[in-house]
Amino acid sequence: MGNILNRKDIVHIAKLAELEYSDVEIEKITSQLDKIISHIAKIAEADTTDVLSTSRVLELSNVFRQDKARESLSREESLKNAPLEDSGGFKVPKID
Amino acid sequence: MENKTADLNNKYETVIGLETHVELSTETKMFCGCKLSFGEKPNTYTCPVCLGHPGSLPVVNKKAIESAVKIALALNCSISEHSIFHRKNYFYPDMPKNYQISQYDLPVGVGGYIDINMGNYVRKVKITRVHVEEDTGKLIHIGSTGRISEADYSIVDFNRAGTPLIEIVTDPDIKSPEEAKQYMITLRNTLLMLNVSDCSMEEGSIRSDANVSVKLTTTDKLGTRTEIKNLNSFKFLQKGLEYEVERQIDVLESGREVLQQTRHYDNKTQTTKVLRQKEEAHDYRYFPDPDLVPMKILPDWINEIKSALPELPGAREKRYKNSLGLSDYDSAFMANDFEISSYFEETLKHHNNAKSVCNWIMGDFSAFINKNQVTLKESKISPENLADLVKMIDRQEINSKIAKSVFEEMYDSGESPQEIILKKGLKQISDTGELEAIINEVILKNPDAVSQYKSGKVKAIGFLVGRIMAKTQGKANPQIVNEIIVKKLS
Amino acid sequence: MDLINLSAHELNGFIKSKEVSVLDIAQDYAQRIESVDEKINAFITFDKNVFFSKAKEIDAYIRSGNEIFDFTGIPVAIKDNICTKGVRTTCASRILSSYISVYDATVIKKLNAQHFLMVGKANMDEFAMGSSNENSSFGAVRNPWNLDYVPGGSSGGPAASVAASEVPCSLGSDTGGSIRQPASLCGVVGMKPTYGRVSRYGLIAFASSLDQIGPFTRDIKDCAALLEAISGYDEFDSTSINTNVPRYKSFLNSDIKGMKVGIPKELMVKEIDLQVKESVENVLKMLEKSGAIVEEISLPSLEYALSVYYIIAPSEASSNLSRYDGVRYGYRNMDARTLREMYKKTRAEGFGPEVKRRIMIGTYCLSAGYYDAYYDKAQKVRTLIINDFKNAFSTYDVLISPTSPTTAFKIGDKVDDPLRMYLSDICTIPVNLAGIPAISLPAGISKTGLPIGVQVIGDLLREDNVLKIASAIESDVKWKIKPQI
Ligand SMILES: [Mg+2]
Ligand SMILES: [Zn+2]
Repeated sequence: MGNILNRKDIVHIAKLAELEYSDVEIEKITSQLDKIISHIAKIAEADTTDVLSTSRVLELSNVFRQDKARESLSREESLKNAPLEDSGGFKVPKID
Repeated sequence: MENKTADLNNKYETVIGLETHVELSTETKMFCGCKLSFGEKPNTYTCPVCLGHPGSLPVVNKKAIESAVKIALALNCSISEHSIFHRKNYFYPDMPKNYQISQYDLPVGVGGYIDINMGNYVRKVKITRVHVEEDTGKLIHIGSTGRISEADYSIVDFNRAGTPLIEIVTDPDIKSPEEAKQYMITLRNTLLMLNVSDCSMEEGSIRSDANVSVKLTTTDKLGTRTEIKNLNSFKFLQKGLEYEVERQIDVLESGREVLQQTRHYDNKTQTTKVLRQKEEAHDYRYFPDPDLVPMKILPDWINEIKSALPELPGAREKRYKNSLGLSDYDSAFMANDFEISSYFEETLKHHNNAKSVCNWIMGDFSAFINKNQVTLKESKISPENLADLVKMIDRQEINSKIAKSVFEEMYDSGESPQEIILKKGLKQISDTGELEAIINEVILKNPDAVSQYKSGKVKAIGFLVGRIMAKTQGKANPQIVNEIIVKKLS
Repeated sequence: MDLINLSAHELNGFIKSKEVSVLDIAQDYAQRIESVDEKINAFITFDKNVFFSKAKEIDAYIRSGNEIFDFTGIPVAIKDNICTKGVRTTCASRILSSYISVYDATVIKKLNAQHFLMVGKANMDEFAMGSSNENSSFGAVRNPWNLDYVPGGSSGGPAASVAASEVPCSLGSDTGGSIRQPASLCGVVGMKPTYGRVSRYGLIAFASSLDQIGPFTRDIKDCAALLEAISGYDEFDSTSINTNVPRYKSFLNSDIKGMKVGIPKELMVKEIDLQVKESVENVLKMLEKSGAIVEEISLPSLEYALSVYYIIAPSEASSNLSRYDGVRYGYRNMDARTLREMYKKTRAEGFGPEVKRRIMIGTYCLSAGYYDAYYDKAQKVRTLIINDFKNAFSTYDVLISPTSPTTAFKIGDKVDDPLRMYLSDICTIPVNLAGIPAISLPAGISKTGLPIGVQVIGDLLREDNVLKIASAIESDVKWKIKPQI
């Protein structure tokens, strides 16, 4: 099976997804993902000439809300789950 | 030195494309019912949706879509019958969901243009697309300088997160920094006329990024472009682009290559600096947002919006020229600045002499405003009061000299011209009886001038009129005075 | 009275007749939970004091002569991916382990309007990703029929709690079979409604175009009633359907004579257990006896359903789960010195291995250069699958298949082979891709004493047909065995 994905791909995808794998984990995940991707890649065989993509199963369109204000959360509610708070804002480490 | 610059400017051609983000002035955010706010305490206008809480879902603000259609129509775009939202995925702490709901290959408007009047020529700038998206929150960098690179940490305020944004992208049709500036001015005035955004530069309601490249005049091949961020005033836009064009020419002249980069304009040094290289470019993993359904913007809806569109600068300029009889220059001046134009229109409602009103706005009024560095709107003179002043002049109720002093007083106090004239007793004396008494006195006291006149020196009459005007503190109607003197001396 | 073995509608009768108080009910259920949940682990959050005080509140409401609805005072367990204001909502993830929701999901608002009795938050696979409930950071859930076996997933807690008589009913969510498969493995009724029938507002998203909340109950009558209670248009969910909710309860015990039943041969997969196959065949024979017309049919694109699902669901999930970054709520690695380090460590430590695996798959499928080959291709094949179902429903009222190819498997059996685990949803996944409704209900019991389920699938918004057939099957199977715990 496989060989669609290698270690370098995994490092790149992990970077996009803001995930991190240790050197030990990376071997395992590479082989697992390679197996899975190789399996799902079989949809390439399906004939989809002239077929439109579906992203929704319902034929809904034009669902809007009126531009009318609703009450916001109180600042306490907004911040209550914050891991770190500073001056009424969500505190984050130095941006790199 | 001058010659060298001129040579280089002939050798190279500048190619600029602008990407402008405009915050709409709807009551609520793009996908939730939180009110838009500015300058409020952090995180006081937020809810599960605009904080990206688990389980929350977006619902589209209809007014924002209508505003987008208005803008697209004003920019001569075609409206996509089928339009959808995509997710643009990237991690940044001012993004509550770490994806932005935006539009990708099916935006609200495509393929438009806007004409930019450069005085001696008109540049047609093609509009690639007009699309709707949501704004991010605001980061406050805490540290000695408040700059991101030197900050110890940052805090996030999500009050702005989810504000409806319209992104307007041009083709690379702009040929100079001056054109870029004029494009922005024209775009801003158009948006102000549409009444869809306050377009405040200071509050960041309208901000532009630019793609810039230079190429040899002799070739069609475009040069490598850089993207310049933080061009958030007309001045910065022009200055930043001027610097960047020069920098790119220098690079090419020294035999090196322009690198594809994102650069940041720093107003302090008036230079642009590298933000990131192309290799670091994002992979946004766009895909249709499954939480939202497609929009079908059908002809009926478009026509409804179209019929409610206000007159836009181009049409207005034509009307001023053709119906009001203003000169080319005056028409452009009156039509192409939203504030001036609104003021002019309002004044005309009270006094229908376009030429006189235009002269006052372009002449004395503009001079005062420029001297005091205020805007028309900020001045104390209401359009109605200006109309009254011009009306009095037109009816010869006051002469131009008095008009000037009344205007100064109006400018300082904001009072109506009638009030000022009454208070200061400046009403013109047109009563022939009253004038005749004064004229008789002046004739008696100036026999020399009288005899000069009688001996054929017609100019001597000017001296007599001057004496009369002085005696009446300028209130005498000069035309009537003239008539009486001539009659008396013949 | 043996309150814990009554159905919701039976309890409702006693509440109406004032024979029992809501507090009586609460006390019996609390006792049951305390005695068995140590073994089952169906609950992540259960607070007896809150439970009792809520019960007393409802008793006071009833005493004041207020209207008693179907679910007034009825204990309902809520899957822990449904937001409950002021109550911890974890998604069985470390990353939300201390998250207190700041609002109620729409389904909770609807049930609150009936003065229901929330029991607690039920265990699940982390972020609803899994088929065995082994992927919970609060520990695996055990199958009440045999504690060495999995209850199925991802709604293992809601299914097991009903099977173990800890509650008469519960709410779960179904993205690729997460209600029907555990219902089948635990021997209870579980239904996934039409996509858009029930509001997703407040359901923590796994795959937005597939997720749907639905009921777990002991019988079809409760299922119809609970479905009716939570269905309906919601202005907070743009994908919710704006049509009236039928009186689902009225479709029970209908005459099914002449109804057309299709058997998609692609869902009678080769991996299917013989006993499962026999039970489904028995059900079909019974339906024929009752006058239904049963025919084998083919939906050829279903061959690709698993692949399509394992592209679309992880892709949407990779985006939906980006918001868990340690900034606004949830777990955060506090040692990180820079933002990017915080993101990586928070997410690496906060998510379990299966969740990370799916984020990786999804990120890959959406990434530059692969979008067309994976995500867009999958959306096209999804269209083919939808068309196959449309075709089938132009002739047939319902389709029938096993819910799961096998009965419950042993805990630990498939944890190291994700692909094998994914195959256990092979019969349920196509239904989510097409957005159509389906139910799983008990069809028999294996020789080893594990339940077998049958799946009834209907066309878009044709929950009525599903319930008619399910009700007919239920009356024939008449299955009253309970697990011994
Ligand atoms: Mg943008
Ligand atoms: Zn909000």
